[in-house]
Amino acid sequence: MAPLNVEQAGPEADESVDLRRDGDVLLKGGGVYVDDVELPGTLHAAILRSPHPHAKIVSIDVAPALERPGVRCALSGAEALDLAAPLPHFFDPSIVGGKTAEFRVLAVDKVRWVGEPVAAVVAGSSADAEAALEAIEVVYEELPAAIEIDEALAEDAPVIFEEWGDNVLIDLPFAEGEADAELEKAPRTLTGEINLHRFQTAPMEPRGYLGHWQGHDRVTLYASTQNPHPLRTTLAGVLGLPETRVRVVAPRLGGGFGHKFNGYAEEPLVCILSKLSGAPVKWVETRADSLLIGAREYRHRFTIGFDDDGQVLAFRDRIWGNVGCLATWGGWSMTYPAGMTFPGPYRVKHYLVESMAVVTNKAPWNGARGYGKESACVALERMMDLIAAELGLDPAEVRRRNFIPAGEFPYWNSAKHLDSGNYEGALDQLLEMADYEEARERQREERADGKLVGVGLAFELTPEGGDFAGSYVRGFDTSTVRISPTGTATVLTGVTSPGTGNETSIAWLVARELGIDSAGVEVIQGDTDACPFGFGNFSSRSLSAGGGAAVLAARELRERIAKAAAVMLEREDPKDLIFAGGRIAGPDGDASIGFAEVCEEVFRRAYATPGIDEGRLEATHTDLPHNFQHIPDELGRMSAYPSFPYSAHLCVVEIDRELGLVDVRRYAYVDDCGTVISPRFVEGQVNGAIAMGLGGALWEQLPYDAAGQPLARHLKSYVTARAGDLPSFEAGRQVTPSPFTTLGTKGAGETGVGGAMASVTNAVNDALAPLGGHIHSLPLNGPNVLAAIAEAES
Amino acid sequence: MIRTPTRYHRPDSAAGVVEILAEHGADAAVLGGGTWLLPMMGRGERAHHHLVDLRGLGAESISRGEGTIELAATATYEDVLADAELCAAQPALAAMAAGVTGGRQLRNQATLVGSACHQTPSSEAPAMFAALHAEFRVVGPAGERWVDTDSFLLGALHTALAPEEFVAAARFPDTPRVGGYVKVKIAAGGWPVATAIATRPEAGGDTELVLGAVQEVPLRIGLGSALAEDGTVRAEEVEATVAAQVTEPWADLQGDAEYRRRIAGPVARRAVERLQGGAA
Repeated sequence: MAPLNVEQAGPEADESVDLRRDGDVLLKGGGVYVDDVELPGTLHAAILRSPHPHAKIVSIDVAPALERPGVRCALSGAEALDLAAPLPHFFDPSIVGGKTAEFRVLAVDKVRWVGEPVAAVVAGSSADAEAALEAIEVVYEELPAAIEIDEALAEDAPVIFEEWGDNVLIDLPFAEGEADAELEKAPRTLTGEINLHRFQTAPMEPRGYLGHWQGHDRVTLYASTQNPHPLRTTLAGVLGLPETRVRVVAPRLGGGFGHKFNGYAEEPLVCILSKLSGAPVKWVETRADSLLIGAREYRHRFTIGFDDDGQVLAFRDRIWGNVGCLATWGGWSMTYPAGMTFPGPYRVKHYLVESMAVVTNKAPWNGARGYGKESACVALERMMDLIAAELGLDPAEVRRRNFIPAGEFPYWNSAKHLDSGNYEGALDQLLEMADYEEARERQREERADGKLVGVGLAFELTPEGGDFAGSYVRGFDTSTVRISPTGTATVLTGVTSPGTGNETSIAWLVARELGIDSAGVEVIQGDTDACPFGFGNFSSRSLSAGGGAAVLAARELRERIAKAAAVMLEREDPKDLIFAGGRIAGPDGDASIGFAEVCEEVFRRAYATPGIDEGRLEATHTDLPHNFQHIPDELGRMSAYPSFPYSAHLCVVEIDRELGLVDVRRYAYVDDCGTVISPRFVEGQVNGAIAMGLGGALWEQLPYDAAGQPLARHLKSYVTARAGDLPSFEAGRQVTPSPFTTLGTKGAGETGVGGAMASVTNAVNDALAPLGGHIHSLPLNGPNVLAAIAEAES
Repeated sequence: MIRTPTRYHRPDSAAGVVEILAEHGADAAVLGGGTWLLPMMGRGERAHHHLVDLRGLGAESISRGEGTIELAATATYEDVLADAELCAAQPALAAMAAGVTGGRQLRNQATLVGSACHQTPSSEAPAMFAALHAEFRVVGPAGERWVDTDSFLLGALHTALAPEEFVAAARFPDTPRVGGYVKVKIAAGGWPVATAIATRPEAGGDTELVLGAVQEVPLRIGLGSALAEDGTVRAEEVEATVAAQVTEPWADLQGDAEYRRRIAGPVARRAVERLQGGAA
């Protein structure tokens, strides 16, 4: 994994990237999302969901639903057994030594979470379909349920997958050195805990699917999905069709975040219902359905060994993740990065992290921006602050003393080959930009007035671009660039966009390579009939991999066009031609020719004019970061993540002492995601990630009652941050390019979630410190913070 | 989406409304702004085959009688805010209307009387009606009657309305009252966990204090010894006074009972301070 010799492709200092293309279309409501796709004769599906967290299905009769107005067909799990093969996992736990289970398109014998699909009805309208559900007769035999981690791990816990014997899906160790021995020897130790609650990413557009089973056994599925190609492959298997007969189209996405990783039962289900009813069938998630999906619920219990200077010598962290029930979705695997991300940006050579995925009867996890890395960040950053408090040191100084120094990259630690970085530089830049000294001074003054003001720091290392060989979660991707006789370019790529604007950046990159206006570059994503096989969007890798591949393809075509241009300009050497402004010129600047003119000539005169030897202007390339270690090296080291962006965060809060409400007064950050293609898009990503992290840390939650019922069913009970809740963010940037990617990018999109959760948790604890209070269970909402204050004052 | 086949009615008289309600009972729902009813029907939480829109009655939103102000059932928050005289006379009411969660879109659509009839504990209008000493004109097959707020608001989602009755209007004394209004939410997008309304007649008299969203129904706080001779409140005594009277705090996803019990006193005190000037 040596650094690349390829010319890296980021913008120069004086270059600016385009405004988001189609921005005006979106603002006018012209964007086409899956629910906007209309096929003639479309029927609508409704899904009957389990009302119990754990129960046997004794009997089910869907026939009465067929009598209801407008109903065309109804389907139970038993009936579906012959129509659909078992659903493949997004990432099967058995690949990494975990337990697994088989899942069908509708539950057959048992239900294991409130909301699990049990039956489906198709009718002319979704209202009629929903109304018909109540006619379906299901007899359940309720079973004891395990909702919380302790219930699932208890001696006499109900075992959710009987063949497992217990409710532990997998327990993943990440270790280096001799943690236990070093902790024994450490001059100082402390123990701590942090409890993170269940919440989710709440995409503005919930998911939906429109399945069309056409003649000759062809299926087209329009899906609000992040991964159209893997979805096509798995769909073919489930439906028993050759993959050549299946087409998946991912229209514009109103937010992905992992919520739309493929693997859901409704994906093949609408196709089967379409076959049964002889018409296209659409299903769109309600917000209540959407709020079932979980993430982020972890418990950490840690012990840290350190010296009097605040240097961490060793630590242990025992992590439990309440992953909800196992499903074929991409969520349980977040427990992997939750452990792997340790020790973050810090140089610690002795640690043992154990990350256990515990199944319960909550609804399953699916992917959620941060993907477990946010969890590790909160724990690590609490550790740093606890050390600082214990020793009376400034928390910034403790971090400085523990950072991996800038000169030591690339740097190995457990399961990660860190590419590049200047952690101390980023922190220092943040502290200067935000005037940290002044913030602390102001805090001292306000504390003297009795105010509960807290300043919280956090540093987040965010591994990106994860590659899990053996699954369809891979680190490479493919793009084709195709140039027409009129000199326009089309990029067909295997990466998709969750709404981030990467199509704008990809068009800009290709236009730049060819020296043409980006208005002349079209980008097509998300259609499996048109685009090369790719893995979609996840782990912040779309621009890195798909954009990188498009650049390589564009370069190949530029070479070919240069040869033809050299012939037409009667020049010896095509290599010194300059492509700019839609023209191709010699370096001396006199003779030039239009880019389009050369393209036309290629098609009109290839093989006839000497020197124009290829009648094709299409190239396909695959790109990936050259920083993977899939096979253990001589020291047994492996690395499944190639890119390591990071960010430093500062949060200032004031707590209303009587109400417990946390006011985020200031928020500042410095972000480093390597080379930046579009500053506007990257800043939007970081801001969004911070808002998501703050929203989750302070207000959002997905509680369950003791009976296993999910309680947050709409956006008045799942309360996300609004503009008035948060201050404007003060943003700074550092750039340490990746030596391993074509563009020098590291991936943007996730960094910020963990940093925000960690910095606000540190700030709130800092605010409570004068009272002798602390809060180690999120969310940090009014009731929880007030309880912490009351406890401290008693 | 609404999954029951629904018939929409828009009668032009009170008798017309009563006739439909009498025929269909609980299967009919009265429609004011619909900002509670329609989302609930869309989620399948309520089902009605008949909707009776009161806007066909063509009532004047705000009218003045002998020493009273009357809000029609269809009067919106925006109607209140547009009446400058009313806002000047009842600043607490104005503050409440201006700050209703949901912004302009909700203020233009939602009705105060509708909020009182729906009577979810975390709403603001019920407590405001209590503070205004409002009465509700209940219309039914047997005729009309006026019901005061305390007799109207009986419990969570529970009023004195029988299925075949509706509220045509609410009225309250047209006595200018200076006021302090405080509302606490956990986050900007949520519903109140506590509201406090401290008011006094502009012309002089005792301060009154009503808490909303703290218990099932609005809670009138007996200020007792916390009241000074001149009718103002000794702010430092408010919390203890309130604490003793919050006996059944409400619990929901916005906040548990213990939280409401704890914050009721400080919220009330802040309303008093806002009224009287002071720390707030």
